[in-house]
Amino acid sequence: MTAGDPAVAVAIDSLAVAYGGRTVLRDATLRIRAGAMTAVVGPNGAGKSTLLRAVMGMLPFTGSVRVLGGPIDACRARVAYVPQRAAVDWDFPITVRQVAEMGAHARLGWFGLRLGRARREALEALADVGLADLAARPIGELSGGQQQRAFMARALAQRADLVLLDEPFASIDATTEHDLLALLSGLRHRGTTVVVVHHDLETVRERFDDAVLVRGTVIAHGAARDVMTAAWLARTYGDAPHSGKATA
Amino acid sequence: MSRAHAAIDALRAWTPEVDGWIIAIGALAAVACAVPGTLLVARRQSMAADGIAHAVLPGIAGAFLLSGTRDLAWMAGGAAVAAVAMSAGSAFLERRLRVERDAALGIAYTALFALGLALVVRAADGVDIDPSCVLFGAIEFAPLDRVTAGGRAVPRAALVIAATAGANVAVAALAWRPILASSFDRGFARAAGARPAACDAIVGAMATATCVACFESLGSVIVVAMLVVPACAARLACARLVPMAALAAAFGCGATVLGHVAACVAAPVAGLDASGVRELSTAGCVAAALGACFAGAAGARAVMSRNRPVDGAHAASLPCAP
Repeated sequence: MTAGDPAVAVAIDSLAVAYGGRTVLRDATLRIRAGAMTAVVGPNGAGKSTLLRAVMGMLPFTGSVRVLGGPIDACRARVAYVPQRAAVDWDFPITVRQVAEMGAHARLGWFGLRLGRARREALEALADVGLADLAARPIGELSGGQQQRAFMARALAQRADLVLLDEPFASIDATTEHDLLALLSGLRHRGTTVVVVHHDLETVRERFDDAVLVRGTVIAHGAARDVMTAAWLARTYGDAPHSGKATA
Repeated sequence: MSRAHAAIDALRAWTPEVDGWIIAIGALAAVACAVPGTLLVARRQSMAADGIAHAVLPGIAGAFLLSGTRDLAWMAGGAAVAAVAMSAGSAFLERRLRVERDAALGIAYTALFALGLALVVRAADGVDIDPSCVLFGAIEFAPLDRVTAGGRAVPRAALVIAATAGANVAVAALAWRPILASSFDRGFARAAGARPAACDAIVGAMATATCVACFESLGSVIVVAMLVVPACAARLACARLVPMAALAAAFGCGATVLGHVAACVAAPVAGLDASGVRELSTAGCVAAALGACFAGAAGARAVMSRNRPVDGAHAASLPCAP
């Protein structure tokens, strides 16, 4: 697959990222298939979130990153990004509907006048994720799973072609994780490319099409069943305590 | 004459041309402060309000020393330079020297405020500027400084603060969606092209302009109370920003009326009239009234949450949640 291939949603070549003199990612080369559900897997501090942030152009890097066939700045409205829970101010005075509307604004324009349309699309997206009844509630009053559903609604309202989620299942019970994975599968069936930073290796094997193993660089990537093998996971997790998960 | 009569006499002595304008100026300041104040409190940047209000002093004093006038363009220019210097200084301390965020702000603004006080004392050797007015304002004298607008003599402070309030509301309305997104979820906002750094600058510019506009009436210290306290009180009762800003403005207006009444009646009630102390500082009394508003809002919230049925995750919901 070449970088300009429409079957490629994200093409990364020789990516390197350094924070404060420390190299977090080096020589990472990767193709993420369009329309597939891809898990990004690796130990803590491996550079998984950094990989997503580099794709979004949120930090300086060297190398090449092409998203949906071009630079990220040319297609931001078509890419939905859900950061880690800790990066969000859950006490901020904002309602669930306003959160979902952000997705519509990202697509329709931050200064446009189509407020009625944004509101309608946000409410439709909330209905799709089962939060219609909670639209007027402050986001901080919702449970962790409901908050992730609201973010899912934001991505739906954005009608993104590519959705990047950074550890969306952290601190969420198994039932809610199952429901959220079903929502993501639904997105994938609509043709959306879904990329998830995820820790549960069993779920990756069962529910994801592709996997990317990361530890300072891309160790392996490809179909989940080919990549999530004991040998690759041992190379990714090494002898660290995380390797216990690899054999789970 | 009883003290009650003295208090009533003090209020009877009110005139629309003086006391009416004092309250109008305070109410306009409450509206002007409600917009940046609400945003700063909701974004957990109350300390920045404190910092900006203090840091603009050297800019204002320096501009006065340079120009020899209290011309608004000079004052605003000086304040903007000082506010940018504070932001740059605290950002340097935070990022390069790893000083904690609030501490970095504290170091930057107290250094600038001290420089400002030194400049004010230097300027006080000249004319027209008084250190205590700089700190606590001189809203009592604001109605005396008039300009002609629409064929009518209007206090300059009222015009300046009204224009600032209007500008704040207009700017906030225009940049509302990106500000909301970048305040709640900076990562998403940045990824979605909402430019959170520009939103930070807009909120900081609104707070700086408001501090400059309110500086002569409320002083560089009391304006902090008007920025932060009504917004904090409103946050106790509101779960969305627009009602929060409206309630903050209402709290500020109410505190202005209460504060000016208290300033007029407290001295005669306390028996200080005969000693020549006719009134307390209105700005000081307004700040005290704001404190009382906050205490009232906190008390009302406590009572309402005690009477609320416990409902799992919803037990912590706010009384005015929409």
